[in-house]
Amino acid sequence: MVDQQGAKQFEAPSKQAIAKATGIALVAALVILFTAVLPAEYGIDPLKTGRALHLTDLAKATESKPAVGVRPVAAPAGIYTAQPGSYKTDSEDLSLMPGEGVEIKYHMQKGAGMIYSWKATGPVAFEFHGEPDNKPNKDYFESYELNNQAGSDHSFGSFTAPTTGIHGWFWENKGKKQVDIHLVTAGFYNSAKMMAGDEKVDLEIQEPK
Amino acid sequence: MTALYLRAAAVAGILLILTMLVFPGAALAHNVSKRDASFVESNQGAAIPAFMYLGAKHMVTGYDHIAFLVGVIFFLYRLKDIVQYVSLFTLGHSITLLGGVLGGVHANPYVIDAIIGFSVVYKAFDNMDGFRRFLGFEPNTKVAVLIFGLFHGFGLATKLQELDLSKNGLVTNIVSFNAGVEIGQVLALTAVLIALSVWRTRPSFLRDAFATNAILMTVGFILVGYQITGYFVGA
Repeated sequence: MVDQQGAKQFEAPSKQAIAKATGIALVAALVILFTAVLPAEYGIDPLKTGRALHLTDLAKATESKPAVGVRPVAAPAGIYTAQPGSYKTDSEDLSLMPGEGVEIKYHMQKGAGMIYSWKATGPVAFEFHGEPDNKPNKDYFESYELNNQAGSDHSFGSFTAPTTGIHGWFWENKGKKQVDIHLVTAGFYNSAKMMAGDEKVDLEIQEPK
Repeated sequence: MTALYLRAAAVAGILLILTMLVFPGAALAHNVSKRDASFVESNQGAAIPAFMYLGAKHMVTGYDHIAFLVGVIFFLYRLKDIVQYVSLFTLGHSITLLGGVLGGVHANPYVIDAIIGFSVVYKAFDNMDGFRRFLGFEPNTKVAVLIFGLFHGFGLATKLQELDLSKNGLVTNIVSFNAGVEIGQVLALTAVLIALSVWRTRPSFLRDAFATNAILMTVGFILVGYQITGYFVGA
């Protein structure tokens, strides 16, 4: 019943039919993209269909980017959060001469947790921030806590990585005296890096016994 | 034409809903799921069955790979042809999966996934006889399958690279993942072939084939748009 050799030629679609079908396919894809896929996946909702159909809730459920300078309020949903990878600790001592800056960042999976504390012998300007592994451009980063005016001599807290990438602090000594910083962290990261100027050093992190 | 398109759309919609019922994870599971990810990251050393399972699961629930394979075997009737084309696809994606992960080649996953989406559009256009009509000839279909196979392999590699694989037993685990991908491919292809064979015995097959490939092309365009947006949003 089926002509095996001539199967493809059976309908002999015309140029016009192919062009029309391709056009319909493209338009249908665009309509579905803008009304459903983009709102649900990225929260991009130009036609407001995502909000009407509650599709944007899907996008919100998967992203948890804390706003700049606002500490995220701990969600009451979970008493505990299972973590990827294994538990590591790290402790670093840094000295900054006036005008010097240094950065320490930890590579963490999205959702991984870390507790941290750093103290300095004097006020330092700092920014707690992160760079996702997949970033739209080279200089992209997300800021979590910024104090680049008066500076501070300490900061403690707990942190949940909003994206898979490197997360940590940049400190800069804007004063006139040397400042020593002592940082301790513990959490579910798998590597640490220190960056000063163009220099990049892998730090050794500890595996608790 | 439009009526045919609507009819085929209804069929495709029902198939999609059935697929989602059979594989509840399919709608969301294109990336290796979070639970699987933490397993992979905490894993040290060789874990052959686990990585085979992950490979197979990725293939069975990876709708972009399946959409492309549907396009490839759509007009293949003889088993010999199917085996030939699928082998070329397997050769292509195995080269880049193994080479990409072992050689540490980091491709941008959004770009690769957009190309994979484009491969679906390409094959659907080919099935609609578009190349012969517009270019006057059909580009070698075997070469096309091999080349797109190479891109699909890079896609599989980026999914593995998103995880922190332990160096311990790396080669064994990647080869196991690759073997699992082939098992998953056979499973998915069997399901697709059974559906196609049943459909081919009906006169509606040839009547709706054109419109079905237009739907396949729509899916390809959606995948391309989804990934290009992802590239710019960086989510």
